[in-house]
Amino acid sequence: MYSLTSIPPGLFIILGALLIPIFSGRTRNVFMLVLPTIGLAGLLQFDVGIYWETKIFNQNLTPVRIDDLSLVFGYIFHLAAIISVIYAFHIRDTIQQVASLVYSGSAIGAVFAGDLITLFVYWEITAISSVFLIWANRTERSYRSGMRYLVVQVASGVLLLSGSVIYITETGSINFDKMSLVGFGPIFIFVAFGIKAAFPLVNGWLHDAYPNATATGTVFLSAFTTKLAIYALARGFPNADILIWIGCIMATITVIYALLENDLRRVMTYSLNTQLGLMVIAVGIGSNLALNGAVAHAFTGIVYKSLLFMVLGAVLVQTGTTKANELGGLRNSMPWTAAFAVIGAASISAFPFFIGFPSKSLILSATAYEGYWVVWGILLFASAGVFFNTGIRIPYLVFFGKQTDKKIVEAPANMLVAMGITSIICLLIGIYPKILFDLLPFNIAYEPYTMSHIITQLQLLSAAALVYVYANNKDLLSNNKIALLLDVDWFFRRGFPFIINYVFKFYWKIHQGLLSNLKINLSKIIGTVFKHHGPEGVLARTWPTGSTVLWVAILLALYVIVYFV
Amino acid sequence: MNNEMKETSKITDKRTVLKGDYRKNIMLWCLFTAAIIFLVLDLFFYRHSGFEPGSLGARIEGFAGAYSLIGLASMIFLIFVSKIIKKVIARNLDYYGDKDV
Repeated sequence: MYSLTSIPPGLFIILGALLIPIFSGRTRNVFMLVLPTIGLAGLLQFDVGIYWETKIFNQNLTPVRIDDLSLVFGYIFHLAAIISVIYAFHIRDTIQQVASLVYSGSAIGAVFAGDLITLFVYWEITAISSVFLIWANRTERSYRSGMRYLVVQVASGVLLLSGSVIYITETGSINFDKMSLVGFGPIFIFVAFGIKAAFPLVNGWLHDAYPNATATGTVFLSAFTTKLAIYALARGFPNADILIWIGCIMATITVIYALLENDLRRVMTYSLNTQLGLMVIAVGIGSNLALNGAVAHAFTGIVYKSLLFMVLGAVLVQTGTTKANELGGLRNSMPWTAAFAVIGAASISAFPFFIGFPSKSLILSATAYEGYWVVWGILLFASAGVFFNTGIRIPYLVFFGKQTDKKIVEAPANMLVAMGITSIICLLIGIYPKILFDLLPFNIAYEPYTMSHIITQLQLLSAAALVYVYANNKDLLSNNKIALLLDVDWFFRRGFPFIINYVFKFYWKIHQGLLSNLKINLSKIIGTVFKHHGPEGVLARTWPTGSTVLWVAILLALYVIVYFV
Repeated sequence: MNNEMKETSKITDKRTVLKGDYRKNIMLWCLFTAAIIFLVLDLFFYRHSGFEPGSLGARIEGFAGAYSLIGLASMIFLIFVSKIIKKVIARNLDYYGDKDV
């Protein structure tokens, strides 16, 4: 008998997405909404366990492994897909629609992959399908950005495959479980995860590609790729000390970049990178509380980041820009969007009773319990920085700053509905975090709403806000010169092309030198041969019989001498 | 007539500016008051520290108003560091050429 558990989670959405082109208009919208909804309903029916295990080349492939860790990500990925589909209802672009659901489905499939090969397959599908969300902008800039994104994502896949092959050869195990960072296999896999998690020096793709995607595409992108990497790190490398320091660098550098950036979608990507840093720190700490914190923060991060990207997407659709210097005073023309922006901003800033608060409290507490006081200080800096850059700056510059002259109307209804649903989730989990805590992989007693937590968080936020308002009044934050900020994507766009060009020029010079020498020598040889064999050459002449006899006699004499010697 | 209009315009501009400044100052004072209230509240409520008692972390966290100070100091640090870093990493918008930004 057919049931919702007859097909692996994720695969159902991928296969369904391929049928999208046969529908049109509203039927297509309904079909697109039904796919992740049925997927979620199916997931709720699965019990913890291993499904569809098959033996290939003496190895057990586990296409679906359901446990507490994968379930949380499965739920939030389905939810993100549902909300993002509603947000994109007004889009009439088949490629974008198919790509977005294939991408969502593959990310869902990846979190339930029980072995490294299945993980690799889904990993690559996410890379290939997601690039269409960038290319869908159909501009030269988005095309180039998409190409760079694809190169990096495929490189991540290649590393994952190479690492997996080495790991399987060395250990004989294909299972995707906890690994120690010893040997090339696990290191390659770790770097592959790190690329997708936007580790320092390999995070250029995030700030390059996401702001160049379509307004709706960015909402999808923000939910899946990086959070899939956080899941993979939590599954494969919990308690890896190096992650704590990588996370610290991620969380601090990006705060500075976010303050300097003028494009607000790029500000959001830096802020996303900061949040990823907090999750990476928590995975690195690796205690049950910290891992719960990482998972909870990934969950809440998907919700509030989606909301803020949706807000900026709506602003982009209605005004044609997300440049801070071209926006301002939209609260009157887009009141609902402004309200949702404030909820998103409060959530990302971890205001008490908003969704970000419980998850950030978990990570801060875990850091303190393990005695990492330097890391704890960095977390506070990052938290205050995110509030500064995203919590205050984005709503202020877009909705409360100076009024723009453009005539703007409120965002389309479907966008408002999607933002409304996400805002309700922000408040619901913020007020009643038990809903989220019950889903977390480890059973721990933790109460985020103590007076101590609330007061200290409000102290931090009020101090940061005070500095912002003072600095803004004194014009210390004005971006007098709107500039492009050099980031690690410089290596792809300038560094590597320069090196390749230089190496190629060098090689070309050697090649030309060798070639010209060869030509000269060849022409010399040909000249010499021609001299002797040409029509006027010595060897071409008709020799008289006497000379021939003389030469034969000389040669015979030489032969006799050589023979006797 | 023209002079009259100019005068009126000047007055309106002045009012707008004053209004803007007034708003900003009010906002600043509200936030300052809020920060003071949270600082005072800190003295009255039991502060649960996650750090091991007696450790350096516990001593830093146990300091009344530690979070306010950290928030204040880190944001001032952020503004100054970003000013310096901007000089190093900022380039013209057409740095990557006409076809690419």
